[in-house]
Amino acid sequence: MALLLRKLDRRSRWMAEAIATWLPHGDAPAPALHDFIDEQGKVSVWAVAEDQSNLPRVVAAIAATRESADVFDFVLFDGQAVSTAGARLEAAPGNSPDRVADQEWHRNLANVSAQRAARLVCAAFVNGERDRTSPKQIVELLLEAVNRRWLKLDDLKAGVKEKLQRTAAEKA
Amino acid sequence: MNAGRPQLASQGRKPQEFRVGDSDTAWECFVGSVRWTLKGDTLSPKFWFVQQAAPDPLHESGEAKPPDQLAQGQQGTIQLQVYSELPGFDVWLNAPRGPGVSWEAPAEAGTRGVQPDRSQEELEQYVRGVLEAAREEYFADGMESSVSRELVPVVERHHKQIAEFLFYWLAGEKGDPEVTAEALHWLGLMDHAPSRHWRRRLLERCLEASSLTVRDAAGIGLAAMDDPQAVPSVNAAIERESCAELRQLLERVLAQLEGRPGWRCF
Repeated sequence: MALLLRKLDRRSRWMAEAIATWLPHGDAPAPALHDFIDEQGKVSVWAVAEDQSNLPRVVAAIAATRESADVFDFVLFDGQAVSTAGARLEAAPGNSPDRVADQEWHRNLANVSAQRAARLVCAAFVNGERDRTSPKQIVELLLEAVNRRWLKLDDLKAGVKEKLQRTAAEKA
Repeated sequence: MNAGRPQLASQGRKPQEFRVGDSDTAWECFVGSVRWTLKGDTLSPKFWFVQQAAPDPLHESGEAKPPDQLAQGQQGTIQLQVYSELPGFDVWLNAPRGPGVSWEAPAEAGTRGVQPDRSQEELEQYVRGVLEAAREEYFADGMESSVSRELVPVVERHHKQIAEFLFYWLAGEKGDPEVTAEALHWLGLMDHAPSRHWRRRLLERCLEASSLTVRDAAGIGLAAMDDPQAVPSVNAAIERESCAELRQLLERVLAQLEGRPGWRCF
């Protein structure tokens, strides 16, 4: 089973040591649930190869949906955790402008109850690998994505597009 | 000054009109932000502009910079500014229409006047109001918020006047840590050379905050600014940091500022 990537809205909600004094072993802080489930109750994840070869493209695809070239935090966890939690994965296009990445790697979780969502978040919190991509790296990744034609510059939100154009001009 | 929800008019073949707000202010004025989502087909906008209901004989209507092209499902924010020497004007955004195109009414537009001749006290009250009103908001990295939409234009236009208050409020941890963190994200991300020095100093000060959320946001802001002058402050923050996860992230910021590899290699 491949790894699954879930973007984190705000990493500090996942920093265990801030709440370690009271958090039971194997549990996760409640705010982490916010980062998993959207307002419609959907859980959107991305499949990442074991060798993480598609990770740059997946990160660029998600970053391309955002309104600023801000830091990008994510958690990578074993896809097996989904079935263990009692949910299942289903292929569903995401909302990224990278149509290939969307079709090949985006997944939604189905049959997600409150308890299953909590189990999944706990599994991702305890066993997952959290990582961060800096704002500077996000700009580089998006520039590369445009150069490789994974994305078009015009697909990006105005603020991100301007940042990329400025960076490209400075490099030139 | 009135702040109300924008109204929608979509009659016949006219461009769709979003009423952004009324203003009883004069002079240079930041009017507000309009959020838009295009539901229909791709099209190139041709009619983005701001109209003043009361014609100003001295100045033309302000312009809102359009995106180059709107694609289906695309979202964005347009910030509107009006230059007028007459008090009392209405501002409208005329958006393009076409077959299969519809618009969501902007939910957050309102009139916010920030005048260059505003008193220090008025300006501080305005920014304090923005930061306090955002307490219930949910913030996500990379996404705009009421804080980004309101604070960034104020800093761009009044950075000398507002710097001291932002030091007091943000570094002094007077407000909600999540809101403070959101402000620090955007103060780090914004490209505004005149305020660069004090924005960096503010982020450095916030590395000393009692809130982990604020310290993390300060580190992110410094990474976004990518200014090697912050090296001593980040070094000191690493020495102090009690949270191992945040310490590791700050070490990556330090590596970046020193020109060493630190972040994950792609």
